Amino acid sequence: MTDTTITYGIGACIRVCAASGSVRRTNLGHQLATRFTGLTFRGYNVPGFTTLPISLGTLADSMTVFPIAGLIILATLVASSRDRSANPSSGTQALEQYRNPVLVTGTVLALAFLVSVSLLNFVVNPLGIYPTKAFEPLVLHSRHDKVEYLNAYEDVPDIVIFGSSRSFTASPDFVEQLTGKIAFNASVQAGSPFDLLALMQLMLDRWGHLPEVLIFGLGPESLGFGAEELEVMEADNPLAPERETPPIETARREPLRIDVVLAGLEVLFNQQHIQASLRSLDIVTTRGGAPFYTFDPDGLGHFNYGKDGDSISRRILEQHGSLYDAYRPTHPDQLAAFEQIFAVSKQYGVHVIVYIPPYGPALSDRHQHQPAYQEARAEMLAVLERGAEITDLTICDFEDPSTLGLAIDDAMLDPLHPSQEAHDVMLEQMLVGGCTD
Amino acid sequence: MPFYSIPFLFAFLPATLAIYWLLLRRNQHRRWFLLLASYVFYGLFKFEHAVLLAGVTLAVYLATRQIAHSAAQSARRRWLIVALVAGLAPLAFFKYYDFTARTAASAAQILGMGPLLPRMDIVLPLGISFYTFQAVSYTIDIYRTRTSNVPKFDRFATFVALFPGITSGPILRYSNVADELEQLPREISPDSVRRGLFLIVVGLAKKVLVADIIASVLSPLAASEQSLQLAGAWALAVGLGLRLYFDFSGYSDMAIGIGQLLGFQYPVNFRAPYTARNPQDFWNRWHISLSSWIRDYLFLPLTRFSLERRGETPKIIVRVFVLLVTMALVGLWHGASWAFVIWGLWHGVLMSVYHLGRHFRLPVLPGWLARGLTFLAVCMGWPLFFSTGFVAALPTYAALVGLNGVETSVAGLLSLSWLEIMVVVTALILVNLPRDTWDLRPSAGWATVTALSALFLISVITLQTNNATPFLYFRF
Repeated sequence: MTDTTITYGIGACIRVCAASGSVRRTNLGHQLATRFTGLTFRGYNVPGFTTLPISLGTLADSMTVFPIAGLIILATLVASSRDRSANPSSGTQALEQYRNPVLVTGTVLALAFLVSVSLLNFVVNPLGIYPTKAFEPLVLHSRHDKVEYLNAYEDVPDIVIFGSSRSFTASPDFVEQLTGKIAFNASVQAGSPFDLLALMQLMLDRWGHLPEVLIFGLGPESLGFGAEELEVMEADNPLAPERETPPIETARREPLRIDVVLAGLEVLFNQQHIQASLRSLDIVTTRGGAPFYTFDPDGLGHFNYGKDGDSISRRILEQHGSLYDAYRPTHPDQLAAFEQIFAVSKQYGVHVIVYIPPYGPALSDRHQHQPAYQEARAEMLAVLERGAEITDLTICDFEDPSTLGLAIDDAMLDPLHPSQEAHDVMLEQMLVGGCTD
Repeated sequence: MPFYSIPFLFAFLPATLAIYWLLLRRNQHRRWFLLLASYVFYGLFKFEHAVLLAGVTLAVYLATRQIAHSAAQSARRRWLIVALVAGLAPLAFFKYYDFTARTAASAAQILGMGPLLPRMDIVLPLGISFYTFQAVSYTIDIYRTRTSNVPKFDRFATFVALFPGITSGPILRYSNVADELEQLPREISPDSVRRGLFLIVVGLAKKVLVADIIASVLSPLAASEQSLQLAGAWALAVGLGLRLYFDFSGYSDMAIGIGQLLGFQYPVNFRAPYTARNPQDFWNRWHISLSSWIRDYLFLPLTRFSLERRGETPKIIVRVFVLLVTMALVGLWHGASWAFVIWGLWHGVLMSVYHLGRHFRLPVLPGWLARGLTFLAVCMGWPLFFSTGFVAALPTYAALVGLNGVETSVAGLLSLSWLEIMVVVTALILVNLPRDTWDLRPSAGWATVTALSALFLISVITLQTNNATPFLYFRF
């Protein structure tokens, strides 16, 4: 992994975690990183493996292992064949006895190799795309998990929290204590306005109305990319039904189409899938431990850094610190999505609270020296101000963690992600008063 | 409908073989069916080009008949010229007109004149270089042998259009298939079937599993051709050599295998060319059907002609001169551009150096060194062969001789996956084996059947998921 490679939001954290070898749930967001930074995504440095640039989007681009099996057979076919000029009956019996075993061994080896690869990928299922559940998948399924949890509610929760991984630790329980209303944390990995729009649509389809209050965690880092960059962020993404369907999904839906079967085979047998399986096994066998993060049924996220907290923080700082070395304008798709969110909120009488979560001091310090960050932040605030003209919108800026009145170690899990304690303070200010409208 | 396409592999070929072997019993019916199948195969690429093929075939046949039936040498020579013009004029027009117009325009520009010939951007009919040489060889053979025994038109037309080789050879001589065309085989031996299937499957695998993967490995290098340094340029040159060999020999294997299943013995086209110990040896092993055609119909007559008129000029000079002319024409046969001419000349120079070395009895190099040097010298030519023009290839050549500097680290030169590394290593091993596919006879038994079936399936799946690139020799 190079220092110049940057990804977005939880993506950076995921990469750091992967690099430290402690992660069990990961989404590498190759397309996102590439488009976001204009640089080639180098993948992960995982002990024992060189690089692993995996996402559902890149998976289909990776080569399958069929050629390896083919080459083994090709080589043994050549090795076991006689000279054409030789008389067919001139080969000695000993030579014949030698030739057939060579061919048999090569063919069996090649076929066994293919069977092993398919079994490995199917059983380990590192991407979470097959029914086997023996191991935790390496790819994130936060959207899937959150939608599943949300669907368990009989009615739409009164208060819904949405954002990226930076909002994972906002506690719905605490919100209920404060307000007496039912809350749900719908934050998803690298959550974007596009996800929020899809979530609103999902709630409208299911219940016909929206929550009373929507709490939206937002940072400037969310705004520099378009909808397409996020189209294959996670496997089995229920928030992206209109986006391009990954091949494996198509294969699941239409198993009898030849091209679909081939696409499915391509995924099952490709190199990156094997690397992911091996890494999954490596993590299970040598590192154990809990998944990088887990969700409660109310959507509250728990990070489990274990002993790798320091290295994770260093890597986040390293990568996010250089995010604003150059200016990235707010993507026009984002502006359009925000417009829609505000319009729908007004239509359904939703009170929107947008809050800017804090950064750790080291990251804040970097931002202070980056004019591009200030520019991006100003653009984001302008978007929100326009939103305030459209609908009932409150903006709460907690970017400076010192305003929370907590020790930094208590307020931040790492330079990017606030703790649950910090979120409690922020939620209290947002819901009981203290933010400027 | 190239050989590696699903319609060919799963529809055209099985249907043609089934009708040819199972349904048609009468010789005449089967011959006409084979002719029809060949024209359908060729016409599916472009119908108009099938009409051109028919026209060339008819014109050459009629003129050649006149040669056979003329007693006077002058008449025979006159009809020979007619036949050659009838055969070569379409090739000259379709393949070389635009090249001539471009060259004339450049010359006119230097002289301060306007364009002399209008550019027409002509689409080259597929396989025209191959079937033209096939047809013309027949004419010359008739002229030389002074035979009046000309086969019937359907035999000749089938010979010219026979679908396994029409797009990219191997270039047949009429004598290769005369007996089979006269009396088509009524049955095929299990050994022939096995060998035919072996060649088809192995050829497909060479194309899909090796050549195409090497092509994808090379694409980043080819894309940065202008900024390559020493190691990168050599990696590109060697890679192009491997790709071309596996692509073209894979195609040739398939063509020969299909021919075998139809009961025709196509001539060998490759014999482990990268194991050659000198440039002449290389051309005895590379694209053999072309090199032997060039030898028999161009090099030897030209040598005889030149030696008869050499006067005081030493024989070795004449030989070198003829070699250079011949190889320049070989280059021109491959493509209508100066890059191909210079590529041909490069091989002419290599062979001339070899002959001069022999003439002056220079010490013979050890085998391994001779092989290595021949391989590298041949590979040096490939960037020119693949380039869009002579000037475009110059940066690669500058890099090849170190003028663009040397990489400080080769770690990032080729970011190869382990699969790609395996393919390249396997390719390097295979090209160093002393026997080529054509020289092999697969062993009998279920193991071979299983291996061939598995290899075929794997190739087809890879073909579908990786999208094959067109055969490189389709351009010629």
